[in-house]
Amino acid sequence: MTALLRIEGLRIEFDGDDGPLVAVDGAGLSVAPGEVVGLIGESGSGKSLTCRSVMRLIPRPGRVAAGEIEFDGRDVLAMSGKELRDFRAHDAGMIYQDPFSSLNPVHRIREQIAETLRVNLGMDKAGARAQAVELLDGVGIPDPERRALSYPHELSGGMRQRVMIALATASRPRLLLADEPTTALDVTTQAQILALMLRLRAERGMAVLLVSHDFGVISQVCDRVVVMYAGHVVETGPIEALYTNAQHPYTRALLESVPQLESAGRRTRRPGIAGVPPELSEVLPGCVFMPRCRHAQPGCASISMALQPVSEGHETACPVRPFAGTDSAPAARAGAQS
Amino acid sequence: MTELLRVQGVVKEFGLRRTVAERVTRNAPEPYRAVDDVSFTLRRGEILGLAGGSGSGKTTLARCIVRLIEPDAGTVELDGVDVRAAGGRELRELRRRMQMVFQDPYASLNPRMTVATALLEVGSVHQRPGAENGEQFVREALERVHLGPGIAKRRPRELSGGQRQRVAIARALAAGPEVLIADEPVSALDVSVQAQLLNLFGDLRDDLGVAILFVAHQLAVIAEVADRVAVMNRGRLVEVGETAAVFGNPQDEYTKALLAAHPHPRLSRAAS
Amino acid sequence: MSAVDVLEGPGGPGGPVSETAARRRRVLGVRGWPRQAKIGAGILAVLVLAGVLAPLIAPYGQNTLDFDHILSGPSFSHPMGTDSTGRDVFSRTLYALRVDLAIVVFVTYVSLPVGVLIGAVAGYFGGIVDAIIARIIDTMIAFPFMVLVIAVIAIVGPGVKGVLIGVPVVAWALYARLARSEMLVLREQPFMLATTALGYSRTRAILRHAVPNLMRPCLIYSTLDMVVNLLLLASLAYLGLGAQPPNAELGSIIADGQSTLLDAWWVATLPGLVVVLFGVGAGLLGDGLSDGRLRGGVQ
Repeated sequence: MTALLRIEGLRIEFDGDDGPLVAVDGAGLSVAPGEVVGLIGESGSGKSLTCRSVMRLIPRPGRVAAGEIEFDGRDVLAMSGKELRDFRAHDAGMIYQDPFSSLNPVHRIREQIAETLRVNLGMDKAGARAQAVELLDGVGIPDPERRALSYPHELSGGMRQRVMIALATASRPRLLLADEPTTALDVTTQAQILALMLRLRAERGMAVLLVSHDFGVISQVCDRVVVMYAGHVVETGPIEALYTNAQHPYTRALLESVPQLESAGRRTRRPGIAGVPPELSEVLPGCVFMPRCRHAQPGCASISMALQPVSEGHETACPVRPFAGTDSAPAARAGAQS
Repeated sequence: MTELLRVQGVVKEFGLRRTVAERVTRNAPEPYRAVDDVSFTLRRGEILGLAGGSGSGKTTLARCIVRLIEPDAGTVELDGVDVRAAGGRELRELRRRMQMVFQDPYASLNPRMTVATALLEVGSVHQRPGAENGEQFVREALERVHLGPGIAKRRPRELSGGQRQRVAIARALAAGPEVLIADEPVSALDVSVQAQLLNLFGDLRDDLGVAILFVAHQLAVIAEVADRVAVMNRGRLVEVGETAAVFGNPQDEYTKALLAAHPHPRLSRAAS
Repeated sequence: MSAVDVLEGPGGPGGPVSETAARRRRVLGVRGWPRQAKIGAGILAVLVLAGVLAPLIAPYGQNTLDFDHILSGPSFSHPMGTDSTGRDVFSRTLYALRVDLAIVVFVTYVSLPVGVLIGAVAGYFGGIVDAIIARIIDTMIAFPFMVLVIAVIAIVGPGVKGVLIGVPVVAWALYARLARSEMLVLREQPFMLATTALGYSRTRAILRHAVPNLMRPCLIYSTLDMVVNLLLLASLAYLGLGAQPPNAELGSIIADGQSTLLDAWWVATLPGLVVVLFGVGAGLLGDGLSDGRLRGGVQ
């Protein structure tokens, strides 16, 4: 099956005092039609930038310096202004972490959705309004007729995020880019929004690229996961494979750091990851995770960060593979700590 | 007495703005109760988690305890001393004994002060023993939070999020408190850094004997760090108990809803 | 904040802040300033130096009459020409700079701390204290600046003394308003709340913690204010209310040159350009220092 979205060799740079700073280097991922792919990493990993590059929304002074981004076989990076606008309008939609600042505070909800329908789908005023209410209903907003007339500040965070989703999916895009959509929401609302995204996927076959720092969120909704660290993809694979058989030391360390509900009542001590991620200005030879890796070998200083296959669909950038055969699932390890 | 901090019937109301019609007819809407008759105790040497979603009132409650916000009703007693009735010097001393750590590592340190200056200031204002020897005071303060002395000369903008949060904790500890009130102290940190900070809180309880009120919205975090947990919903305390008991066998509907909403890995499925 | 921070953080109710150990930001001394600010500072430094060293570098005295060379154009011996009584315009300009800059700096940097303190107190305490102070500030600002200054001068008497008193009496209000609004935001910051939680006195919280953080926008504003004050000074001199003749003062030099503008353009224009230069320098400095954010826009 051809991928709906294919990113390869992506390199994003920012202008620095002493030359360009590389924020994303050689990143690649693919999203199949109807697939939910999670992009996980901690802050500074470049996951947000990678996601935004798909819509070509990298803020200046950043820029895509190299790489390919293909949507349904079309070269996104080569699109002209009009083609790009069409792409953004019809093929891909994006939602962000903070729904409040993504909605215009002085326009009613209905108007904001109707506007996109008029401009992007060419609907007339009355039709757009009616459809806007339909869309609000479709994302689970109760009493949509009345709520459509609200202003953003009159809605709760969860509602605003639903409005964002309605707005982003109004023209039935085949791909939804979600940049930390539930980070600012509390856990019950988060569960609802994630359920909504899964429902839209089931109903429309819409693919989702979900960026998050939260493994819990990723493991609940994603089919496949891409793990990023310091601008590189370090591991990618089906969620089961990563959860039970993560091969990259960073992925394992990350999984080990995640607090578990099951630890209640037990004194747990998690190691975290010693050290700090590298600065943008630091250019590290070989593996970028090496300074912090418990399993580092001398040879790690000269490897490239290229992904190598582990099994079907599962790849890692670590040639050392210190974990052969051991289980990485968090629940299995919680009892081992003390 | 094992009870160190006793909170009884605390209420905090925020008046809603009235519309013109309401003013004219003198029909005030019900004021909004952010904290609604909350009572609990914090025991010596324990970490009590305070859980709840946004709008549950947990941050407001935390601020009411140290009187950053003035409660409208109820009592707060630290080791038997009435916090609400205290004023001036007495209040300052009480505050010294109940220190607060805030959520946002960026904004909880004065951007224009070096770490050393901030720590020394605590020592001198409260006349802590050992504060006369500035360098040593600062070094010991940093050691408590596992930071090296090199951090002392830096300003907040030169520190990472985890380091800033540790400095904020060091600053609180420099006052020699018996209680630490931590308001979402790890929510703004990456998971790998968060894990280390949670270890630190455990160490503070074990090694320094500090009692900690740990406010958080992530249940898993509370599960890992808290001995007991109190769950809040819309200003009310709905459930209190040992963490394992509350999370394993929740009694209140809201607690059950929170636990059900917690993301669970769905590992056994094919991409559909 | 780095560019990556713009997208990845800072955290808020939910998200993590960037963990990359923030590199030592560029030193906050002059070496770390943006180029714009350095150029502006350079221009101002030259002007200040010229004024300070006036007695040493001025080729002639400020009132040295020379009736053989009245109204002569710019030349090697008179870089800015001479005026209607043969006085060297360049020398007069240097002495005038000396006086004017001293007045402007005094007046601006007396108003600033007074205004910042009052505004900070108003913003911090809120309630009735703020209500009263804010109304006073609003009233002072609502009045036409010039009218108030002239009124004060009418009481105190013309001359430098009048200006030195008159302007601060009015100008503090602008800084107070700025400081007050900054304080209203600042006092909600966790580090300010921390000062209360740490048991610090309110005096300490305001003076030691808040004011240093309020100063930056006020200092940036002061660069603009200096230009305004210089022009104000020139206007007052033009009206005969500033430094009294025969002492050189930029405004009066320009005013004197007005009558001979068509025949001897240099008498009014060249000192005027010096005023413009001052404005450019101060503007570049203020603009450059306030420029800390990344440019917006996407590709």
